Amino acid sequence: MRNQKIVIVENEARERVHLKDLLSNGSYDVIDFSNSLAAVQWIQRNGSPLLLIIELKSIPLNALQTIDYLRTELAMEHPILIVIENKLDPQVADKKMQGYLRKPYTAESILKMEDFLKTVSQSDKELSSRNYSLEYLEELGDGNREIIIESLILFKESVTLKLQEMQKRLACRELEEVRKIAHNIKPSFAMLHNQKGRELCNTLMDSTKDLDIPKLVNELKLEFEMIQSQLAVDFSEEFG
Amino acid sequence: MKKRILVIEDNPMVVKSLEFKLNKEGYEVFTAVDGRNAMEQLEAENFDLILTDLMLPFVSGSQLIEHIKKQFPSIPVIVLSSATQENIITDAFTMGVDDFITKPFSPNELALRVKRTLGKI
Repeated sequence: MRNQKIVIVENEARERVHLKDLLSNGSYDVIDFSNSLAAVQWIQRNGSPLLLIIELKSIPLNALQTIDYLRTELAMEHPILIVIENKLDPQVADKKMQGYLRKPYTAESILKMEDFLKTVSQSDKELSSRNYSLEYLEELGDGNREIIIESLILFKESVTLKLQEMQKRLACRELEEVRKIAHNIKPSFAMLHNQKGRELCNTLMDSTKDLDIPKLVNELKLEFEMIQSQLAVDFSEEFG
Repeated sequence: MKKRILVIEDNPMVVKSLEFKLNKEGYEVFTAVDGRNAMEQLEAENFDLILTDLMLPFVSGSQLIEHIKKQFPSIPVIVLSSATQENIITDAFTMGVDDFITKPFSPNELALRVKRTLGKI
């Protein structure tokens, strides 16, 4: 059973206080730690929190080690947001990750967190840590597992290539091409019921200002990496 | 004899799903990943129906539909669209396409629309 606390693990005192203030102003019940192990011990004693916000570079266990420990050793599942620096860090995506926040913490971080919590609460406990659903492919395949696996492999291979191309086009400032690629891969996210990827593609295609495109491309890459991480967990034989 | 359907689409997941569903429904499916290749296949083969995306490499959807309607006016065309392409879809209907399906399509809806469109021939 979850308690209603939000647990923060943040190394830097100033940042920690700032995030705590932002959350407290939003009427959230917050407990903060500079040390990830202390947070784990608190969770062990008090049960799963409403949310754990943990900095990627937390100490002595970093965020990924902490998540592994909570899930594997303590068998505790709860929503977790990892805090990353502005730069995309590939090691984050290698692990099962539900969502992320970027520093610096602002009012927008709280809105993002609230959106994340809404999404999580809409799903049942079993599905809350998943970034995709097989519902569509199951309907299409009508019991044929082969088509599901083939489609997932195609998703991984084709979207990887398209995102690489998107990055190259972005580097060359060929923004119209970036929009075309977003159009191309949008159905792939939609077929896995990944709403965030689908919306990011929509925004890239239609309504965004050129200046926002690099950030959106990064978000899309992260979302894709999160789906891949989840697939690696769920289909270890094919994707592990 | 099986009806022959040409799918013009550059997203491999969409192609795979269309092929799977249409084969299962008893159609023979051919695929082209861009407008240029589609035109080549249209010159070389006979088709009963075309399913096409509107944003394709090399040849735009509008150009492709214009070409099909001019050169192969008897082949019905169903457009595979994104939900946000209302203006493009309207233009496509003005050019004479028969129907449109939003990606990702509902498998049963696809089957019905294809059957209905082929039934008009």
